[in-house]
Amino acid sequence: MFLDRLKKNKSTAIYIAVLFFMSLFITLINLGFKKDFIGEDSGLIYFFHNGLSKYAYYTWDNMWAPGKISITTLFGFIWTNILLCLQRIGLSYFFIQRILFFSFLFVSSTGMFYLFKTLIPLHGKVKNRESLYFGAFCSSLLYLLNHYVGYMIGFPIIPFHITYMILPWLLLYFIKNLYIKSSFTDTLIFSLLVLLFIGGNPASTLLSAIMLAGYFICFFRDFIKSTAQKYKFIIISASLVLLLSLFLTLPIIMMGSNPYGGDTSLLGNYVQSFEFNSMHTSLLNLFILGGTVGWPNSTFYTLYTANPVYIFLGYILTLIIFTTLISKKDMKLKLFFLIIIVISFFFAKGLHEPLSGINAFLYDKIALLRIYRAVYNKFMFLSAFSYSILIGISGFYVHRIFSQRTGKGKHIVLFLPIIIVLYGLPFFLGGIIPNLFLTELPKEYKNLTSQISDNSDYKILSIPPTPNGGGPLLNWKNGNKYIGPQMESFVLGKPVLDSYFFIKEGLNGLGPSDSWTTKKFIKSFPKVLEYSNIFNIKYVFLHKDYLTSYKFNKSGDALKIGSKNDYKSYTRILEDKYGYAKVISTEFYELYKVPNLNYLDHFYIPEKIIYSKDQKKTLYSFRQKEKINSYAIISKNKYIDKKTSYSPASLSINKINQTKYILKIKNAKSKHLIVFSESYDVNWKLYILNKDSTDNSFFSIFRQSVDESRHILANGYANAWIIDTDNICNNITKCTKNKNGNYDFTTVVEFAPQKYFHLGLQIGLMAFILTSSYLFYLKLVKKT
Amino acid sequence: MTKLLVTLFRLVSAQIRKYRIYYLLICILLLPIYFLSPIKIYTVLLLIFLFWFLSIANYRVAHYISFTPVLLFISLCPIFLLFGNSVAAEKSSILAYLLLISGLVYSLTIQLFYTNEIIEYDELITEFMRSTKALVPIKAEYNKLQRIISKILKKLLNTNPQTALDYILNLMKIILLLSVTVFVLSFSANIISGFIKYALVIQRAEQKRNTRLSLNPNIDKVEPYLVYSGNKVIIYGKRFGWKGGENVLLTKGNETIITELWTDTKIIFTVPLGWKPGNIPLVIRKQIHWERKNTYAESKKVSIKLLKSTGKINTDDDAYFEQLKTLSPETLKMNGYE
Repeated sequence: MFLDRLKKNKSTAIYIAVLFFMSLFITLINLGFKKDFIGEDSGLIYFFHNGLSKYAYYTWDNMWAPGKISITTLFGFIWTNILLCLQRIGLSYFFIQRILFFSFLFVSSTGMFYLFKTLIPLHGKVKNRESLYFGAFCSSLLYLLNHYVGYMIGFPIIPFHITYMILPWLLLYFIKNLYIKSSFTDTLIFSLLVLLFIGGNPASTLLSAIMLAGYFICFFRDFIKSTAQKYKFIIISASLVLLLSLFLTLPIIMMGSNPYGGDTSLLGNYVQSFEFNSMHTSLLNLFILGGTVGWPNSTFYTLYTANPVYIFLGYILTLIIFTTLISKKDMKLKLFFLIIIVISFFFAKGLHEPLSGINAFLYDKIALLRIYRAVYNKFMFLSAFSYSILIGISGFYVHRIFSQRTGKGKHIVLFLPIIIVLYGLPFFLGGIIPNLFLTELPKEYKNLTSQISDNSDYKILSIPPTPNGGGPLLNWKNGNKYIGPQMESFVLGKPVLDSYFFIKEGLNGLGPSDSWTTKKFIKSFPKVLEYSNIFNIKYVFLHKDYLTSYKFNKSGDALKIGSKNDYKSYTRILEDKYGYAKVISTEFYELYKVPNLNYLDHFYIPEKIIYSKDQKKTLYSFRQKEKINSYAIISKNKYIDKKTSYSPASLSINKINQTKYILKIKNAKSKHLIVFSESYDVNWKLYILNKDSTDNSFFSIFRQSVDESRHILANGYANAWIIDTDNICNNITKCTKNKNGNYDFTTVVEFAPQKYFHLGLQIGLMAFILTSSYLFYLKLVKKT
Repeated sequence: MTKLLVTLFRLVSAQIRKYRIYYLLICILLLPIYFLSPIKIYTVLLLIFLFWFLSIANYRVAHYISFTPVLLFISLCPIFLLFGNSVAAEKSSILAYLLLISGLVYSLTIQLFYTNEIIEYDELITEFMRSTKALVPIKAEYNKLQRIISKILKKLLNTNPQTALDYILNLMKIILLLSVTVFVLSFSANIISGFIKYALVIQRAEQKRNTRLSLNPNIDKVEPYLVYSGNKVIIYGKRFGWKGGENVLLTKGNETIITELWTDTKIIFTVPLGWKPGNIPLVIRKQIHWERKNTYAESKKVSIKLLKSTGKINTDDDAYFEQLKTLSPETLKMNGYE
């Protein structure tokens, strides 16, 4: 059956095969067979699948100590699960990187091919199918080989790439279901595509949704005329998307707040970021789809901007694209894509003329636009998309004209794909990827987890601080480097506190610039060690492979390393001054253990309470070198003060996962505190369990937590609950009375959004199984 | 009423239509000005856009004519780049973009409102040819000028040279005349270009200064002005930066003040007990990246007056309570006056 279809669509098969081999060749030539493709935003997260599953399945990220809400990571849930599946079937990350890279190229280009093949006949009569396939091939070629793709494949494939990859498929199934013929299979595919699409960059997803809505409005008449079961499609797909995405929407709705957690520091820096991202986005560059910030650092920048042939080729392609506007045919469709080009150019040019003032005004006044401050990255995919459709139309016209000719004349049509391939030649030469991201993770890092046998609940302090807290640049010899977010949490599988945290807190007058050159930080390091006790730090991870200042060359290599790596200064303080024991030492790092005396538990019941209006200030002036678990710093409150009878109890902890802990409290009387050394968040709830109840019942979702007014901030960052034993144990179903008159009871500390995530996931899975079963029934049972 | 408006609209559009050849001519005339001017004249650019749109709209040309100049200016981009004139290339791309917008708007209008396309570009050609007749009087002026120049030349030169000396003298006169002309022209050109360059330098310096100043934190208001130790002071303004993300400081001379709240538009701090009474100068310092260097942008100095908490009640204390009437509810609340 498949072969029959292949024979029928011989041209399609040939074109798809060409795209397949091109994608494969580009993958192999650029990634090679030796090095890993790691770094940038994803860092090493995909390398260690234990860390990846912790990241994907939990709404609280405790890997970035002292912990943060991570609802936004749920957006990439489907994507992460695809990777986890690949890992579970035994593929190493080395292959997964190459599969992802290849998929990005092949899926996006074939998507464009099929979209074009479907879109053009919808808007006009197609007499010659071969011309249509040729046009589709040209459009998919440009979608595969353009400057925007050059920028996208310059860093490891992450959910950010989903938009570009899936957009043609999404529009294809959108028009197929709404304007041509709707089927249950296509509806299900569309819904799943939407689900995957949501996992992309939210800003790009939003723009793509606007584009789809724009298409719907512009071609509303066609929608009315269409005989497809469009309303059925709309209802089914909307319900399916709603049900399948409940794992994401339910926690957000139940939290009732911004999933991004109102990170205002990002908004504060947006002006500089906007200026920085507008650096190369002049219209001159945008017309050839170029203009990314790092463009001048790319290997082929000089070729594209100084070589006369390539300068001409770039603009010839642009000319061909706009020449399609000369013809009156398919005008409505062409104008639709022209509108997209004009609008995306307007925003992508950022602070370039013309009308830069309007642009700046809009970005300043409309807060939402600030998520688009990386102007090239966020807008130009729409231009690349529209350019591809328009060049496909050119190819379609040209082929129609010349295919009627006999003899050699008809081969003239080949000039178009040849120009595209010639312009995209650097893709086939290798070197598109900056050398910084092609690296080999040293075995010392790979084997680190196996060397630590301590399975208790603790955090690790990483030194030196990473520049602006954005992750380190590490030098691993033989040209291997690492640039990306902090990696120890994934390597060690434990929460890691970047020592930049103390710079951010302004300790000793430190500022962000001190994270670049560590001289000033080293002076404050003894203080950092003293204060880190209060953050549940048990180990100190010292990088010996970090760089302090650097300059990049055109291949993205660190050219100039500024000041000398001064890790020995840290060693002296750790070993000589404080007597930290060295646990592991390699040529890249050293691991030290904090003396037991100073180690703060993840959960503890303090013996004494210090009341302070400014907890952080008190914390930083607090030099208790004795048993640190004895103390907690809190603000005055109505439930507990100096006059209240305070009686600490004993505590045993059972960690279920990073969002749930069961605590058994013994010998409790009157009032006491439970301190949880994880960032304060109102969504952390404490429940008192009934003596005979199990925690796993479905109804646990409706369980009543301890009054929120008793949930307070402690130690300047942590959670604490004021437990009033007398009040709790009024209810005999909750406590067991001991012989000495004290009580035992069990509590659950849980991050509330996680419950809703589980509920949403269960409903979504059920919906998916039901729809898949129905599809199976339609395809196999009903057919037979 | 509607009829009246329609008639009025028709009358106005007929009047606009009447001068359509001039729109086109202005548009063509503005092009060299746009390309040759050393600075980017965006007003000229917008005028080109406007007159081009008026021309195509009033001639109701076929949609492809509206896109033809886009192709022209896009093809000029690589040519300019190859000749090393990236400024002209950028200008060309900007023009192409604006003409693309005008073509798009025009084509959309046709697509939406005109089912039968009206093409009057034949009329455009005819009208253009007709307009060349206007050049006749200019030609007469040119002849007149030519006659004057020949008269001057006759007076200066010996038009009927007989001897070799006459020829040599004529040659010397021509050389002298040419030298003087070249000198005068180059001198005036230098003066003009000097003025233009000077204007450019001044403009760039001004722009740079404004850009740099626009990065400075700007304090709009500080309240209360009169304070006692322990009072909370709120500083309102903009571009203060964000604590944590940036290196920002509130200073009193060389001393850094500990703040309780720091946002891009608001800072709150408590007046510490240790400060001496008197005027307290406050400056906000924010680290910025300017011209590839890390430097500090400072706000203008503002001051508050710290009053003595001890001693007899004096006029300053009265003024303190008087100012409470003018303070914002937020400041009052922060300081316990609810």
